[in-house]
Amino acid sequence: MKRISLQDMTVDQLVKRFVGIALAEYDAIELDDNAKFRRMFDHMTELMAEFLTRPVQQRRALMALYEHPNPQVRYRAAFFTQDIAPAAARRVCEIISERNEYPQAANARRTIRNMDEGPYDMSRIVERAKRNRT
Amino acid sequence: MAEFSDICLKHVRSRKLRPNWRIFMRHDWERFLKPGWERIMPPGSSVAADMYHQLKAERGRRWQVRAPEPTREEIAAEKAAYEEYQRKLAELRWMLADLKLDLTLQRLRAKAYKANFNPAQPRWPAGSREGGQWTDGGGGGGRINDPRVISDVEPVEDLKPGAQYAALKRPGNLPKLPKQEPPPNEKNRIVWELARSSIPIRVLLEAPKWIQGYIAEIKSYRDPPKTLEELQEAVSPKSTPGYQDQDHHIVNQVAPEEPGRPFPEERIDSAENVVRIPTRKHYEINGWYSQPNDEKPFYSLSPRDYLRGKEWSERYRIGLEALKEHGVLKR
Repeated sequence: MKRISLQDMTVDQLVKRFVGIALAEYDAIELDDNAKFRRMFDHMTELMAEFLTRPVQQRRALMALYEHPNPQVRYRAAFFTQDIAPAAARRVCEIISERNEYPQAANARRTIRNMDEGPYDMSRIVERAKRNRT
Repeated sequence: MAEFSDICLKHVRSRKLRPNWRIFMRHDWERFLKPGWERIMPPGSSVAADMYHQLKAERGRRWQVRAPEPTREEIAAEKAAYEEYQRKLAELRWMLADLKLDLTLQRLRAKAYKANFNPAQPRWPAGSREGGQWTDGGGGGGRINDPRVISDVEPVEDLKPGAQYAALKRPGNLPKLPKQEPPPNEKNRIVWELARSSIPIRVLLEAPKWIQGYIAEIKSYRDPPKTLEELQEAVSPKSTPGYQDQDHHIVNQVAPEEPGRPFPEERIDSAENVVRIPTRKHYEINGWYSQPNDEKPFYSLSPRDYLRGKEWSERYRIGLEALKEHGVLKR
């Protein structure tokens, strides 16, 4: 099977990969498998770095995941779109928090608090991806 | 039913017996019957009893007597009576089936009521991990379907914490619980799922035996947040069911090999730094400390890596925030 690089992927393919990685992260958390979580976290960083190099409209495709049944997918989608859709992303986090969907609720609460303090610098994710590659 | 019995017997007789059945009977048929058979088999009790009584009445006559052919009117009357009998029989069968259905439905309703089953409860959609399972969440089809999430432009209303979302918790469906204790990974997953669900503890008391050992942990995981003083006062050498025996340190115990380890053991174990929290919350917070996190101020480091080399005050602040965010310490 031919593997496609992230650069050659369509937005739909990137979104599908995003969901797959977030679900794997969820599984790793449920199984207390930190090694797997770290691997998935690095994959997610790569993927988001790719999204961040593309036009902003493409990243808006992640907003469709605000209604996903899995809390990790919702939390990740909200986190990575907080700069382009702050109000909607905040509401997703608030709902995760109010529903007590642990452990995502803990990170969602931190996102809400951080949003009150100022915008998140997404370029940090690109920097981290570059560091990972070297 | 007497009239039906006669008609029915006639019908059965006409189906089972030839019109000239008499010529096949032995002349000494009575020799093979028990004395007093007439008391045991009165006329009308069965086709065989009728046959014997007819034969007895005809005794003395010649055996090869052909029954007279019925007239057209007799045949028509008999046919009409038979059809009426069939109609009433069908009606009775229908009524019986209706009663049986009613009874079954009543039993199902009783079971559903006992199990807190609600057929209108929405399900998670197919294709997701929870696909097909029940959910407590608002909106059908497993989607949040919350109008406030759709648009970034027009926020509809503000959240009222604790009021309108009080009922929105994680899915309250009981997962499939194996009777035998499963392997550790599977067991861990099930216990987490139960702890994070809204399944009542009284339901879990009827779960397989191996679950019973985790009920205290599941129960304590759902305890409401407490004040810092309450958590500190709860620290004691005595164990509390569902609570960590080795109490939680707000500033984590620093590994001896960590460079520049500035804190003496006494400070780590001091009363202000030690709290008693639910066992599963302790595991959850420990996991959170070890997992990389994109949030500020960690920026892709794990909280544990971020705190390496930091001052006591920063470690204490992050420790308290972790307790608040995980619903252990009151916000």
